[in-house]
Amino acid sequence: MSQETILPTLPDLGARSDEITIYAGPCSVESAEQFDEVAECVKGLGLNWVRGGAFKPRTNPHSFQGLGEEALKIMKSAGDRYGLKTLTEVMDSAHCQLVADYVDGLQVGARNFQNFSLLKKIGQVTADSHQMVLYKRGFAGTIAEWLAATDYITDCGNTNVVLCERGIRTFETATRFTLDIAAVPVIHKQSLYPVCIDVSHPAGQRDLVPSLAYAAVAAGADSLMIEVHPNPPVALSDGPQQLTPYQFEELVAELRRVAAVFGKKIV
Amino acid sequence: MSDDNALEQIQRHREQIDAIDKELVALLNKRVGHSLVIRGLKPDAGMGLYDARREEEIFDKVAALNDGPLFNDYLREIYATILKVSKETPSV
Repeated sequence: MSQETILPTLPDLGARSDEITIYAGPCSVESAEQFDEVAECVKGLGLNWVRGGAFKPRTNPHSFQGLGEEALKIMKSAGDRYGLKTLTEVMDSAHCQLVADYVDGLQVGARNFQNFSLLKKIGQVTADSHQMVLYKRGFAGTIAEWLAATDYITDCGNTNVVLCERGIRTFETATRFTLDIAAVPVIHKQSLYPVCIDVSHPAGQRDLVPSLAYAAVAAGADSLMIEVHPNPPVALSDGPQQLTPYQFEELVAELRRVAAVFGKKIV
Repeated sequence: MSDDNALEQIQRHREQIDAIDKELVALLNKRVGHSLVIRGLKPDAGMGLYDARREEEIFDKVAALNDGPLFNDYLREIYATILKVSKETPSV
C-alpha cells in the first residue's frame, strides 16, 4: 500500500476554542444560602456560569428528588444578582418550557441520553431562544449514537449544543465511571460541536477530580463541569465527589496554569 | 456430481470472487478518495464530518438499488462499516 498520503505532522484535534468554560455548582440546589455561597465563589473567580440540580434523576425513588421549581427560582435569583449564567438539568418533556423560562442553559442527563421525545421537546422549546443545550452521553452510549441523536435537538434550528462526556460503564470499579477522554478528539474530528468533560461523575471521589480536570484541558475539552458544594459532608446528593469552594479555587488556579500551556484561558 | 467436479466449481467461483474483490478494492478506495475531499471542504461549508441525515440517505439509496440475494439489513451493515472506516481514516 502506498504511504504517500501520510503528511509529516498530525492535526491538533484539541484546538477548537481558546477559552475553556467552567460549569461549576452543587449537584443539587438545596437552599438559597447554599447556592449563593457557590455562586459567590464562582463569581469571585471571574467565571461565567453556575450550575445546580433542580430535578434530580435518582436511582432510588426514595432519595432526595430535588427542589424543583423552587430550585429554579433560587438559581435565577442568584444568576441575576451575581451576573452569572445558569445551567440545570431538565428530566421531563413537561418541564422543558418551565426550565427554559428560568435558566440560560438546559442539560440533558446521562439517563435521558436516548429519551428522544425529551430531546425533540428541548429542541422545540429552544428553537427561537437558541439557549445552550448541554447533552450528556449515556453511560452505555456510543459516540455514533450520541452524534446521531443530537439531530433530535438541532432539527428545529438550535445548534447551540455542547456534548458532555461524563464517563461510561466498564469493568472498572475503582472509579465511579470510566472517563472516555478520547471522546474529545473524536467529537472534534467528527463534528463541529464543543465538548464538555464532567470530571466529577467519573471520579466519584473528590481527590481524583484534579487529575481528570488537567487531562480534560490537555485533551482539548472546550468546557469542564465540576461539582462544588459549601459543605460536601452534608450534601443531599453526591457528597463524596463535590469540592469545597476553597478546593475549587485552588483547582481553578492550577487549571489556569495548565490551560496557559495550550494558549487557552479559563472562563 | 463427483467431489472433483464440486471442487472445480468452487475454484471457478473463487476466481470470480477474486476478480470482483480486485474491482471492489479499487472502487472502495475511489469512494474513500471522494470522502476525503469532501472532508476537506466541510469546514468551509460549516458542516461537521459526521452527518446523520446523509448516512441515512446513503442507506436508503443503496437499499433502493438492491435486487438481492443480499438482504437490505446486511447491505446496511456493510455500508455502516464503510462509513465508519471513512470517518475514522486519519486525514493526514
